Amino acid sequence: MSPFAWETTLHWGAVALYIAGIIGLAYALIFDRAGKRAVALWVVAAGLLPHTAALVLRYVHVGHGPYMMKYEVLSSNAWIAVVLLLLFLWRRPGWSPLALVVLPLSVLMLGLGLFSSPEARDLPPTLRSMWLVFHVLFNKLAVGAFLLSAASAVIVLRKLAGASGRLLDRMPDVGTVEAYTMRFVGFGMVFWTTTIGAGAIWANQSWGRYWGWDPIETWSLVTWLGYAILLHARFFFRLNARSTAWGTVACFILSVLTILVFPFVFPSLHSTYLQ
Amino acid sequence: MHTRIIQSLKRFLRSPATIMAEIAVITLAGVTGAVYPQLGASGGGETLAQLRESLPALVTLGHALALDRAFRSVWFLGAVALAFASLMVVAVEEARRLFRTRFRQFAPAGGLLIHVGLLLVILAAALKALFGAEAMVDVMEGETLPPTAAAWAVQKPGAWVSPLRIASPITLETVDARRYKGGDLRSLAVRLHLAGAESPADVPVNGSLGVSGVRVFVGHDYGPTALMEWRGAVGEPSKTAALLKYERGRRFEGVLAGPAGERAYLRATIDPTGKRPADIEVRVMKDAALLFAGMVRIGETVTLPSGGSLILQGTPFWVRLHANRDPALWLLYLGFTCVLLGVTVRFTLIPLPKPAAVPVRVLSCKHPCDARMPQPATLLVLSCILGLTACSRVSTGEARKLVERYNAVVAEAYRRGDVKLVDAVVGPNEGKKLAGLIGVRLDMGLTLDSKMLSLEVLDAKRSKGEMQVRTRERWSYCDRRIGTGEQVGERSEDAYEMRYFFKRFEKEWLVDRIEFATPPQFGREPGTWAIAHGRMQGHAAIQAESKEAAKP
Repeated sequence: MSPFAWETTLHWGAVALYIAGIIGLAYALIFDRAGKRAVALWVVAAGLLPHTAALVLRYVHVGHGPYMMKYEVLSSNAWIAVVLLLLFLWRRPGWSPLALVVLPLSVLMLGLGLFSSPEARDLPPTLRSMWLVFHVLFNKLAVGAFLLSAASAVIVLRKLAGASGRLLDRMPDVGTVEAYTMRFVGFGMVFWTTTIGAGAIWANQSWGRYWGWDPIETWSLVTWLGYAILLHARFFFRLNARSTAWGTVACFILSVLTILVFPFVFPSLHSTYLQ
Repeated sequence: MHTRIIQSLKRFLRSPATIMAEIAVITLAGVTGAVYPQLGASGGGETLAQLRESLPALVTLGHALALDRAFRSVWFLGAVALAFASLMVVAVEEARRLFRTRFRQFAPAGGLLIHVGLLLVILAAALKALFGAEAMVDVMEGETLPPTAAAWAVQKPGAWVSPLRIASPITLETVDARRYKGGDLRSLAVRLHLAGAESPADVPVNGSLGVSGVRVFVGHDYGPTALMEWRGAVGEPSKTAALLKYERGRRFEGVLAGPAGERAYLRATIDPTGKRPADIEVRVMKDAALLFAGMVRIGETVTLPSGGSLILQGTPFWVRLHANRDPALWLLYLGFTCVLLGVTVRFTLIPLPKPAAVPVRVLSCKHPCDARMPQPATLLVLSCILGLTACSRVSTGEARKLVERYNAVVAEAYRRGDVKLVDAVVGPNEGKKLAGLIGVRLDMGLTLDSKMLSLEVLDAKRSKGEMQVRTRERWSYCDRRIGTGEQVGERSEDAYEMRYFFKRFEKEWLVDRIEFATPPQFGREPGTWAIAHGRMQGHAAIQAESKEAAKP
């Protein structure tokens, strides 16, 4: 088999295990089977193995990290999201309903990546910088943290809407979930700030200026400001939980647009990594 | 009275409403700058000119509100200045609070770090705008830049400084470009020798050479230079260097003007190892006549039918050198570090205050969120919108631009007998057909000189990844003999109705195929030409065939 055939097989293996994990987790949570829940999470963790192997194989094949083309970017974003989710659930097992929001979105990302062009592209000289690694790594961590924040914001909204059931009843009260939502946003902000900082240092190295109002640079600033508005509103105005949750979801959508949609819409120096 | 004014001003600057408004205006400027075409940005002026044609009122309004220069507008700079003042007031208050609590609380420390960091970032940007400078120039291997400001082709000095110059002469000794097996550029490094320095310095992309406060570095723009010597029938020989610019793949192209109105179209292909090319593809044209086409080796002389000659003297590499001076860069990095530390402390280390309480709604329906679910009618409307956008009309202006671009490139390819030119406008199918059609003419020793007399776009529609454009066109054609440019046969004026099928290839609309929408009308009758390997049908027949496949 060619390296690409291996990658595809491993990726689809990961998708199958993630989906099996989602189904198992939904079953365990709906029918209140605590033992099955742990098994389902182990299945998800098992999915990480072929997923990791596929990314490693890709790295060996193309000779650079997963930051060129949709195929690599989406797959690695999904990987980071699943890793962050499992790390969090390892420390807070009671939050497993969160996985029912995060995992389907991760599978969706992975699926979109698998249906895009898998063409391997060589890394141009300007992208050969250690700062690129930091820039991309922290960006992926930010996406993972924002995804978790959006997922917990959805749970806040469901609870505030009066929804109940075995899944939601397992989760802590609204105040605690909301506090965690803000915590995820906080971590996301740290990662996003590092992304912007590392990008600025790298841009100064490559192009002689740390900020050039490139459309994607600008959108990343807009996203940062969006989250800054959310955090200021939450602390200055003591914004209520519902508005904060809606704000978190809106900011998450903005971050996804910045990373995955706007590079296709606006001509930008950043477009290279996705096209 | 004076104190009261200051107190009111402070209250205003630190009020949450003011701060939120400042962030909102800066965010709005960011959105405007990212969405609306910006003057000074790459392609911004061109996009604005196009937009002016279709929506003149919007462009006029945008100009009046400075939306086309959002980041230089008074309202944006005003918001940044106000934000700076607010940050100062807030930071002073946070510092006082921190001292009052004797550093026992983390929260004010986090906030203080964020706000001081942002102040430093704004300050660094302002200092760069005032005292920073940038410069750029294209340099060939072996060339020395004198220590003057005029040595740099492009200068962007800050508001309060003179243009940038380097203290001592700097020589570009060599350019080392390496490529991947596939042909893409892998690494680029230059060897620079500063006068007075003991040894030269190797500067790769992402690296730099510091020269008395100025940072000299290399971008990724580079290519071979064609050093050409023109010798006319009379007069002194002239030596010119053409910097060949990257075209696609491993191909670099450039144009050179000759002493008697000739134009030499030059093309070099770098081999996969990245070495300097040993020969260059040259096409010499005068007006619409192709005088010479072929590969020229270094040191080779090409004699032109007009009596002059052309010698390729060498093919050294050129590279784009940049230099910049930013006295506040350290301040910027300090600011970034402060913001990062502050965000970490403020939002990840300290307990978060509880939000204002919101009563949990208890709804009577089984699934409370059903009340917010989109109604079937809404979904239907959304589906219809999606369906309509899937197969929609294209603006005539956009279609016309695409057809005009295609015709201009293909006409030039026929005129120069150069099929590689069409790569930019056709897909693989059409490319193959054109290669055959242009090749047939070259075999006959002819080029086609064509001119579009009129173009009318009759219809344009787009579905996913495909676009169809129907046009009515009038063309004037004549054949020219290679070498002399002499017209062969009569000039013909033809009229067609064409159908163009565009396909999306890597974000670009390329012609996949074209066909006649109605039978073509030719201005002259088909004849016959004698060629070395037999007889074939005349101009109009080839023309008809080529029209089916490509233009002209």
